[in-house]
Amino acid sequence: MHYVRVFLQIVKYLFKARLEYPGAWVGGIIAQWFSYGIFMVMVMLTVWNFGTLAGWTPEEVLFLFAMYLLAYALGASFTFNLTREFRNMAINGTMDEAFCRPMPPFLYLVATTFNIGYVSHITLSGAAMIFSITRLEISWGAGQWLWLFVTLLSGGMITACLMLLCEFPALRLRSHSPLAMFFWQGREFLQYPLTIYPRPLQFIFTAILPFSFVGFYPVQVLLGKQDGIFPHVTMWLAPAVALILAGATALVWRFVSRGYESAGT
Amino acid sequence: MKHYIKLYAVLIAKDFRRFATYRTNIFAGITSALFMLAARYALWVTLFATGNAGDVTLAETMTFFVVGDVVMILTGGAGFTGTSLSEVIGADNMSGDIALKLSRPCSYHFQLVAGKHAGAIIQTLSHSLPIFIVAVIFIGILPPSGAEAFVWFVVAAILGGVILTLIDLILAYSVFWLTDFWYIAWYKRALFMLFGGTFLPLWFYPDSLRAAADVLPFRFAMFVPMEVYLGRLYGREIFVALGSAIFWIVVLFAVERLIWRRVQFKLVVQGG
Repeated sequence: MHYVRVFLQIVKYLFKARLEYPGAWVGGIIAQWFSYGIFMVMVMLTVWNFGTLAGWTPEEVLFLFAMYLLAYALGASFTFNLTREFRNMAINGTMDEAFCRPMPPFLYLVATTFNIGYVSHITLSGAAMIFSITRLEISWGAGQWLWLFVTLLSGGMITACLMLLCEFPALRLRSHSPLAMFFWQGREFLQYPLTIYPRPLQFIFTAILPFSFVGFYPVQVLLGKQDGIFPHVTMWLAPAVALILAGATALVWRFVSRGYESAGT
Repeated sequence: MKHYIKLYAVLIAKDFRRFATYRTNIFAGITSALFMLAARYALWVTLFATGNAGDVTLAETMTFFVVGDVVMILTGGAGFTGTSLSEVIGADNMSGDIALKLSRPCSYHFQLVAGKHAGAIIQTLSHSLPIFIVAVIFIGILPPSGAEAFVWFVVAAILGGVILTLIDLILAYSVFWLTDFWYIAWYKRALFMLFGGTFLPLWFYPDSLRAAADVLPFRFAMFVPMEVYLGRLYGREIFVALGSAIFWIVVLFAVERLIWRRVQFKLVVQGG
């Protein structure tokens, strides 16, 4: 509990620092609303032209995209800035600081690099989600709303863990991580229903790079869909996948941080 | 003139060497380009499987994107996958390097254009050429609709590249009035996505949005050249389109000069 309070205090100071230049901050938020908003319109328009996409209506595809974007924003708020810094941390010694603070080093690093800019993604995807739920005339019970909440958290965790796992090599190599592209390009495939891709790709994005547990499988439960090559039970596995990835990330972090050597001043 | 050509070649060679030093960049560029092609192809195959595409074919659509990508990168510099001029000018302004570049014995714009063309060559080799080769072998890309169409396609692509560069420059000048600049490129990409048909060809647009796109200059960068290539624009329509492109070049050039004149009074070097 103490660490949560410290974490929130650090984030509060980051927020204050960011607001020193309110124009730049708001400019960035509006740009992301504009850009992602237009992207959503274009995706809707594309599917609308053809009627459906692999049996998904334009509103369902929008809901899937909103889920993907919201989960990405929730996860990336914690890890995006941190992973950008990995390759410089050992070079200029900024990670030394984390080992000298009276809190877990990883928590300190996540707090001090927290990205408040993702408020743009969160507000936009929230609005898109409300719009698509309204258009789909969905009437969910408490169980479905709880599932939405849980899978948004697990989606955020899966995103954050995959980003970290793909970027950790940068910390050791002190250069770009060769695995980074698997995260940044892999997530592009999340924007549409998994079933539009050939079976080998469906397998990869379920069993090897489990991006499909961020949006596709949880949304299947919420929209009552049962497409895909895996057994139906797969659509319920997102929270378990998130926990497994969190464990794997913790193990890899322990290995990577144990071998940390500062070259900085 | 000879001096400028030599200088231009030196600047391009310098940027190219800098890129080639990091070989993982080349590998990452090619792999991510192929990822993008796979995702796009899967999307369009699924959409065309619905049978609701009207008179447009899958081959035309994939040709539109694959050849269009080459066009935008070759004529418009680094295009959408690479660096925008707002990022270059913004970084120069923020670091103070702009003072050094303005005092060199060749214009700042010449250096910008040379850098953009170096980016074009790099992006072509690491991005659009691999996509083009893979698409030709595995997907099947349509050839130009005729020899004459190909000539007019090249002309339209060059004019489109000039329009793309001018819009990029005009938007980039806003960095001199702003404290941050990373997001300017987002506006550019979104505008071309919405009005330029870079995400969805304008054939598929509803009438009202198509009418808006038709009166704006964004479609000249990729959509118009590709319509000429595919033979969807022919005869007099080509000349009307090229005339409109020239009109927009004149208008955008005048706007660009006007803003650049204002920039020279606004410029404050912050770093260095």
